[in-house]
Amino acid sequence: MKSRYRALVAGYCAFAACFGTIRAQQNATQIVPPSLVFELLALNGDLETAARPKYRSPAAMAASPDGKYLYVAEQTAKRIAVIDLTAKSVAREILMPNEPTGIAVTADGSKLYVTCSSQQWPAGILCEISASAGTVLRRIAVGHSARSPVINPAGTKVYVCNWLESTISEVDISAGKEAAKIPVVREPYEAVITRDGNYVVVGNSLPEEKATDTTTIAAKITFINTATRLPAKTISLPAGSHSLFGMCLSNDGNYAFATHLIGRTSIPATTLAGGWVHSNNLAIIDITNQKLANDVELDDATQGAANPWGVACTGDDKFLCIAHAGSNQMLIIDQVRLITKANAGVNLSHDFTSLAGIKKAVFIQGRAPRDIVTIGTTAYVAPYFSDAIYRYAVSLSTSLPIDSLVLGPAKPFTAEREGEFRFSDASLCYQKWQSCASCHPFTRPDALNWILNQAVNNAPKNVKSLLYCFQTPPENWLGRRANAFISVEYGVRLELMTEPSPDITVPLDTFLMKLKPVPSPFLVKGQFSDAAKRGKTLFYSTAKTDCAWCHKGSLFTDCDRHAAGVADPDEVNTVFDTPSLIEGWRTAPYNHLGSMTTLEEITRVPGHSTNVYRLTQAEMNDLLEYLKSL
Amino acid sequence: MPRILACAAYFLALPGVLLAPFTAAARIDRIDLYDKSDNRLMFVTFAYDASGNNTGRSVFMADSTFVRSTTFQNDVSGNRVRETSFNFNGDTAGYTTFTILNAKPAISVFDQFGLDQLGGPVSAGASGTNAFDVSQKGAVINRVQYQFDAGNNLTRINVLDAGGNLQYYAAVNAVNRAIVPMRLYSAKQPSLSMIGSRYCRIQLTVDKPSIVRLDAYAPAGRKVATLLSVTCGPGSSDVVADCAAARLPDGIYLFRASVDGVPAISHRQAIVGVRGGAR
Repeated sequence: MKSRYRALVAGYCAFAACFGTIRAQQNATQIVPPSLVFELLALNGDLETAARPKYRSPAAMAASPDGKYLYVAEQTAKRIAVIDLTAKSVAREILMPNEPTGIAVTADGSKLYVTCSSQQWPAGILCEISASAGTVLRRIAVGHSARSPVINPAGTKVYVCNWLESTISEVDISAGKEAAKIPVVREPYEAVITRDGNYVVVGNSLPEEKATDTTTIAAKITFINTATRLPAKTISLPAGSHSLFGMCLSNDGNYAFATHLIGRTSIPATTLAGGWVHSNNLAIIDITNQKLANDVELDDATQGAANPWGVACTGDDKFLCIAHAGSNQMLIIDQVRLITKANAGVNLSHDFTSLAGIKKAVFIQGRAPRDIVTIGTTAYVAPYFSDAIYRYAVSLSTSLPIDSLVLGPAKPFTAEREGEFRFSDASLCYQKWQSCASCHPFTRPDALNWILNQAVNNAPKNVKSLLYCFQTPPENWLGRRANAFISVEYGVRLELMTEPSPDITVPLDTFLMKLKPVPSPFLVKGQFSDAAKRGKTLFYSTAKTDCAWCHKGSLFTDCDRHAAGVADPDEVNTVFDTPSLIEGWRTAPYNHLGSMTTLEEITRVPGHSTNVYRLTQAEMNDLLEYLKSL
Repeated sequence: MPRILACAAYFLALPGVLLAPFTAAARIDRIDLYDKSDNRLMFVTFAYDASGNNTGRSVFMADSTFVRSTTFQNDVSGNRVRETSFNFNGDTAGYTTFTILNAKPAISVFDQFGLDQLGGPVSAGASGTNAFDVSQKGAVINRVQYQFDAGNNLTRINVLDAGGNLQYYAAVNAVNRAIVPMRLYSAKQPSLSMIGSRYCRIQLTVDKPSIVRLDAYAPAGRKVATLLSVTCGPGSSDVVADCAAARLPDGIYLFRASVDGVPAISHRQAIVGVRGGAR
């Protein structure tokens, strides 16, 4: 009897043990099912899906000082590929905590400093990496959408462009933390440091003025005094300049070169030829005198050199190489003769002949080259939508690459990816003068006013963000297009002067309708500050404000047109589209005219609201904090 | 007479295996996701109602930047049918729907406008013990493995590529549930000759001062006695309950331990499995 009982107990225990184990483990897998883990990593761009293959997107490069290695930031793959240039193969891949946006190598080659940030997680991280071990040694918090790290000659500080925060972070390497944050003009995208380390020269990608200041509005170069941590000098590029995406310093340290576009906004955008809508230019900065030596048009008379991006000098300072993402080419320029011409005292910013005989355009095999580095007289070009780096021997007779360095197998393009490429592809445009990205850098506004092809009888209008354009019809300030499908077609037809076909418009539509907002730099760890919380209460308080009357719903627009109190004597129309407030922190200048540079101005303008003007300044500050956080 | 008490003592006497029926996995409060190079990417916190049911979760990037919060919608049978995510402003950021695809549970993820985010449903089916294959469009694209400790606590989830190479992993953070490993066993060595044992011993580790309580229940579910209610400091603790001192009569008892009111070692599953849910 006793043994039978023991057997029964043992049987029960065995059953219950299994049952309990299974139940407990099932419970855990129900709370964290495999699909949840997958979803989390897929939405963060870590695991690839049918919708989002893990593209490499080589966006930035740097060479080791001995010229033996090339470091490639594979932005969307979140890793650094280390290419052994002797073996011509990828020697190592270093995983990064977020998308790498820029690379700097210390003078002794022992360490890399890599900026990381992404649309999903824009909080910047500066990663210190051991070049020999390929491991991340330190992660240093910097600013929003960090990119373009530069190391001072002493090797004691790293400066980082906090692109959408419009600041520069100074990082103390020994302390391993941000030592200062320096405000600059607007959206600093690239920077270089002078050979003596006294100045960080910052390229601000967008102008900050009212768009109605058509004779002065321009992107700017800021000289930051590294001792005082203050802007020492600000240089304006030619009027209409924007999209400054590339900078380099000559090896002798005497000049900085900055690529940018010039929007010729003072005339209707009816004639692409001759660069009368956009010209693609290079600013030449005299470092010693902190002035613009000249600005040179890179286009030919009958062919645009659209969307210049990365720029690099050969080691002997004989040639300048520029990657053109839109026209898919590399431009090689005789740097010595360029400097001579630049200093001749003639404005070259709209002169097709200035580079005649001293430049060579080389077609790039990959798609949309954005960065370029040189080792000696060899140039390495990184097409963003490709899986290889192309190597060229630089001279004015260069036409073909020496070879290509394959990063890995190519991934087939989804419609969204094809659309992203097509958005910056100037081959869609008559004579390759511009791409969609020329007026809509990264699909957001260029901050300028334009008179477009079918609106020549209307007053100039400020460029709108394309974020949520598919979800907030009708399109443009006057609601002229019923929806974004039509708007995309007309954009290709009228602004690129190409007849749109479905193989172009469908990918563009797919790409644009999937755009997501970038979290605001005014959020605190992704959430509202206390002031923004108070502002949110005010925003929805009908007793205090009437904001939500027009800016309603989750997209903050009623998709209707209203008179918002903005005087426009040149415009026959009196009502204009209600813009979404999402990403309002980055879409200045405001209103259909672009005549106001701050959200406070447009909020306070008489006629915009019936009661907002009654707010106290403290309440207004809270309301603005909320608006800037969206 | 002593034999009866020995039943309970027997359960308590064989840690690892026979204790399993008494060991309900502790509550998962947070998971941290890493890549294979140990870069921390993000973490997820889980919310529960008073009954211990998981009611939502929030996603944060590694630096604590809030990404989204998610609430659940179940059908009348308790099956998950939809999860809705909200952004920092409380607006819908997207949603996930749950279906069965080729006899496997599958998800589809959409943004707030209903635009598919994954390029079609993604299913996950068991491929082995605590192992699952994640498939899309008929092909395995990832494999997910779960690891548990001896107490059935989920400790780690590995995400492998289709070839079985580790790509990412999730570390299950148990700090908030207060119990890291927990074992309940007799003061005597496990043995069938333990009949008449009067002691129960609890070893546990907590991260903050916690009240540890041990209750005895009759098989019918009535609580008979509280054998122990002590405060344990941070770190490892070792406490012993004396059944005789608690004047517990001889009989069949089932024990339930809790830490700060959270069931840590429960008799529920054992009773439900054999006795038909007496409690």
